[in-house]
Amino acid sequence: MDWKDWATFVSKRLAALVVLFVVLSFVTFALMYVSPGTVVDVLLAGRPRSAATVHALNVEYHLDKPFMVQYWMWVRDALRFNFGSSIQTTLPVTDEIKARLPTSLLLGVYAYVLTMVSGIGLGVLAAFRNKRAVDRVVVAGTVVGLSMPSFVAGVFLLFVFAVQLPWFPAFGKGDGGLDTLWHLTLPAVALAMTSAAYVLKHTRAAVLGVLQQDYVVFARARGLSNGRVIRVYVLRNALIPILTISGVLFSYLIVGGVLVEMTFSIQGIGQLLVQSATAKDLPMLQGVVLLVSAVIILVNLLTDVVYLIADPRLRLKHG
Amino acid sequence: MSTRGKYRLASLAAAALVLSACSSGGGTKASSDVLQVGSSAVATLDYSKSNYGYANSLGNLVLEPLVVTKQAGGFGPWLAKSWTQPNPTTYVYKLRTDVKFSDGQPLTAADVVQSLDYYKADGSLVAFNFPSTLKSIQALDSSTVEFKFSEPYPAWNSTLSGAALGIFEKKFFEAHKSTFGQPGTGVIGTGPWQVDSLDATTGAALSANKYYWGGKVPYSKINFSFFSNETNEAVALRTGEIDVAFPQDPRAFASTAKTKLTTAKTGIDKVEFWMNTLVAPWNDIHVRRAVAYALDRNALVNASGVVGSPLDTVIPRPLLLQLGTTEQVNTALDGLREYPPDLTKAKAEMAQSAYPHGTTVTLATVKAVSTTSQAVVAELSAIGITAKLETQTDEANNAELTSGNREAIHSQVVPVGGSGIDPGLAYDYMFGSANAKAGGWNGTNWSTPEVDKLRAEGLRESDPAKRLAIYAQLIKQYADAEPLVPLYTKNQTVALRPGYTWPDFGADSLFNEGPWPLWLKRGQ
Amino acid sequence: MARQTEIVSTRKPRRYAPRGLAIGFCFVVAGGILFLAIFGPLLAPQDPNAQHLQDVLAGPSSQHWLGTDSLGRDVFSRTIVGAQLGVLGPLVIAVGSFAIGNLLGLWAGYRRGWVDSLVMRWVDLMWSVPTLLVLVVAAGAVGASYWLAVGLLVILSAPFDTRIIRGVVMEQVPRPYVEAARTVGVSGRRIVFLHIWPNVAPVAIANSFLVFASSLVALAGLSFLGLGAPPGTPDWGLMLSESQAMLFVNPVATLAPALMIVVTATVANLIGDWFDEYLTSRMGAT
Repeated sequence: MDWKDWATFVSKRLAALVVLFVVLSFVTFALMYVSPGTVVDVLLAGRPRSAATVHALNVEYHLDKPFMVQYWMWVRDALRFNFGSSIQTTLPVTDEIKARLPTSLLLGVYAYVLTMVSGIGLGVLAAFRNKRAVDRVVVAGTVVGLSMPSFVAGVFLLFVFAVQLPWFPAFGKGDGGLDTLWHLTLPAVALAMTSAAYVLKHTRAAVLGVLQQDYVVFARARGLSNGRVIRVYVLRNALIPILTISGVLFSYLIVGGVLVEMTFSIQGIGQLLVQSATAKDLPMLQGVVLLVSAVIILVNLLTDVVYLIADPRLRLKHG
Repeated sequence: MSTRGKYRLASLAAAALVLSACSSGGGTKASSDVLQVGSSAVATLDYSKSNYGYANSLGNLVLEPLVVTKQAGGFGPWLAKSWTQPNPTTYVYKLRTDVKFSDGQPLTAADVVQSLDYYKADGSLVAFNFPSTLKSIQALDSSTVEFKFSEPYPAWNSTLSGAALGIFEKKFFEAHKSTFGQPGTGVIGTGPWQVDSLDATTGAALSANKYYWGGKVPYSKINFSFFSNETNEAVALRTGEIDVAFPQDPRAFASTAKTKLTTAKTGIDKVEFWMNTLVAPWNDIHVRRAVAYALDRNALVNASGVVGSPLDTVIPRPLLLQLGTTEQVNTALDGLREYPPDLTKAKAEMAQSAYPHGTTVTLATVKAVSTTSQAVVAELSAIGITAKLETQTDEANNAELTSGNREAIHSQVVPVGGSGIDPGLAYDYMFGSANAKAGGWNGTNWSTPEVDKLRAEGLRESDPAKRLAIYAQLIKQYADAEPLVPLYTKNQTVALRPGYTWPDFGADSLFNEGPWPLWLKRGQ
Repeated sequence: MARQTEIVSTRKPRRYAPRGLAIGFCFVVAGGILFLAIFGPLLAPQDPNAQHLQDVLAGPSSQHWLGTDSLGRDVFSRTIVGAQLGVLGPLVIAVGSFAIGNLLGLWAGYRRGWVDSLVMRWVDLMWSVPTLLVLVVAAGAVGASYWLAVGLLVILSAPFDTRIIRGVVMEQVPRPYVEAARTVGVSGRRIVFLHIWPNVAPVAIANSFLVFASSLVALAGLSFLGLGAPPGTPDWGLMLSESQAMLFVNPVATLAPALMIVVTATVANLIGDWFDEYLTSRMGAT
């Protein structure tokens, strides 16, 4: 692949991103528009309402304009990176997102690291101990882990490790630094459980596959240490498939964070998503939806690029 | 309608006494005069844009009202030291002259006028507090404010005592109009604490206002942590991360937090079962009465998980105590048609109705009362009414209830928030034919000319005895026609960590909040 | 050729599926859950919706094996009846996305050309839409609705099936038997459905089990957020979220629905793996 192919490849993906933005923002806008009740009904809630107040709020939030005009006004501002102010909190959408994004990203990265370290580590271990007790225990754990929803794990981790054994804090994101890591540990474990099982499963299979290759059998026959065999032969060859799924995993962790953030009362993007969706906070919701889909597309793109670089066979195929 | 708009009351129980008690009982360790509070998130203290500020117990510590309700009934001075009524439609309030804002500036009438004008403007979420008969708000001099009405409005003190009408500093407001109340800007008030930092996502830090006119305050710092989920809040209380919380789901909270709750004896937030009298079968009075007999209020309170008091009147009896003694209230309500839970009577009423063999209805509900609704459905089935439960989003429910199509919702279990503690004003917005139109909250669409008359007279009348008679009459009218079944009031509860006590909480017939940490005590 | 596609393939790795006794056990458990889903209302010892308001939040007893919930309903009976929604929704999703995915996958993989690129553009687009995000936004707008979520999941899972089926079809098309059928003059439709599809079916069926498991988890998660099944429904996710707050009063009431979710999803995943390994290797040999 030369630079031209690269350029087409990347620009195609970015074009897809733009299409997705338009589709998602329009669908979100339309959904909120057709669903019963407006933001005025959210704001005034059960209070007595005067016609003057309802009218003033309708004008303030442009609800008196036709649908397409409302959408166009939003697009016009969004193109200038002005996503408006949250209706619920009155704060600029970008500020709210900025305040929460680091927590969510940290949670995602933390869970990602846990996933990779435990998934690959245990996967290699299980493969080397194939069909022995360690392998069977790990595999059994994986089978359950794969089907354990993060919120189920979260509820029980909270119960055991924050309440019965008060080793970890029960809520929130802490005060930054180590304290934040401390606070995010249980949520990250809950979030990483499924993905770690997934990585483990793939790693074990890939390593088993490589271990059966002639060159590995030969290397072991030559009496090379297990450590050296792992480093030189196994990991390098087995990790390419892991790399492919790792991007998907990161997207999974970012979106899966919604449930974990709700379970642990963590002030992240997922919590913001649920809150703004249930409160008809359209500007906020649009911001979150676009952000999350952008992160996912970019991560996927990045994975593909890395994958293309890592595996020359694919480059040929693409070329 | 009202977990959403919690109208917290700002009546301050013998505050001066508590204050002096607190300041004299000082000598606490430096670390122990920090209070940790759990609440839902507060993103702004601009009450005109969001009710979270005053509903989540934070704003009350910073912004204070002009007057407060007294434990013994009636209203007492707070920022205003006295008031007069030079003629039936004019009210004049004299401000205290020793009050300073937390930046050291003195409180003046201009601040009061600015604050109330701001709250009253069209588009303000708290504008509903101001009746259309209010003609002008004026500063007569630096410490006198005059309110002119087009007709008498005896409930005005009750309105001014609301937590939602806290007074802020005009100068600061004018300098920070675009970000007023928001994190980074905040508000300047006269309350015992000031906001040092506010983060819409995590919490707020408050410190004592050194200019506070009430003297030294018991906690030099108060930290708020914001929770999006009450289970976590309860766990945090259990593990000692917070000291105080005001739970919405008290039973679950108490069990998770492993603490006993302190509970008020009543509240102004009701839960009711509304029957739309415009549609069948609810246009049949026998069906409505059958339902009233069939619903067991005590069982419903138990099912709901809240701390509540069963209701038998459309205006809760404790509110009427502002107008007379228990005895007087009971006498006034003599002859009230009552509906004790009684399946035999319920079935007899059904047999008399046009639906002796039962019928099928739809029953709307919102998430806040979904447990109660499910219990209601089960109790209705005992008298042959098969109810199909439809859970709506809050805004969809609000939109349908107030829409021009008055038949959109047939029946519903509905949380009804009181807009203030005045017995007439609290639920006025759901009474009468004027509210049975687009924009109105009368979801039963039931009214009579007499109800309309009583409503109007009650708000004009200033003699307590006459008002009591009017509202007793209104209550009886409702009980006779029974367009709605009052179920229970949700009573205010507070969860405290061991070592803290709140002696006056719930001692009053009407719970009050105000700058509440002033009367929260740390045990010996 | 085969080896090269193997490396590119996103299919699950081999040597993971349960064998012998283990898979037998999985089928027994799956059969049991299916049995509960069909006959649950008959099997439940009590009416799962009958309320006992005097006996709320009771612990396990001889009368209520898993205690009662906040309306005094029997948790054991509700857990049994919960199998109905627990299985039905994911089943509809698995079958729906199986149907759509197979049709589109066969069509695109066999016809190629503009049909293929159109279908694949659509697949790519849906692929990059985060499922949970869509579910939360839709439920937030329209209100909690189980069947809305099921419908959306059908649409969002179908591209997953489509992509896999298309891949397998493309592997099959160059094979001699297809060529032979073509030369004899068999119609395209016949080739696709009678010749190619039987070779693709095992992969498709195996995949459906995975879709089943992931939909189960997604629906439970949505109910857990209060955006799925309406309040009062005996639904495992909802039961878990409702009883979570009362974890200290009656832990088994939280444990039971959680366990059912995990067990059902696990069994579906394992059976899916088993199908994938054994059926595809057997079919692939022909």
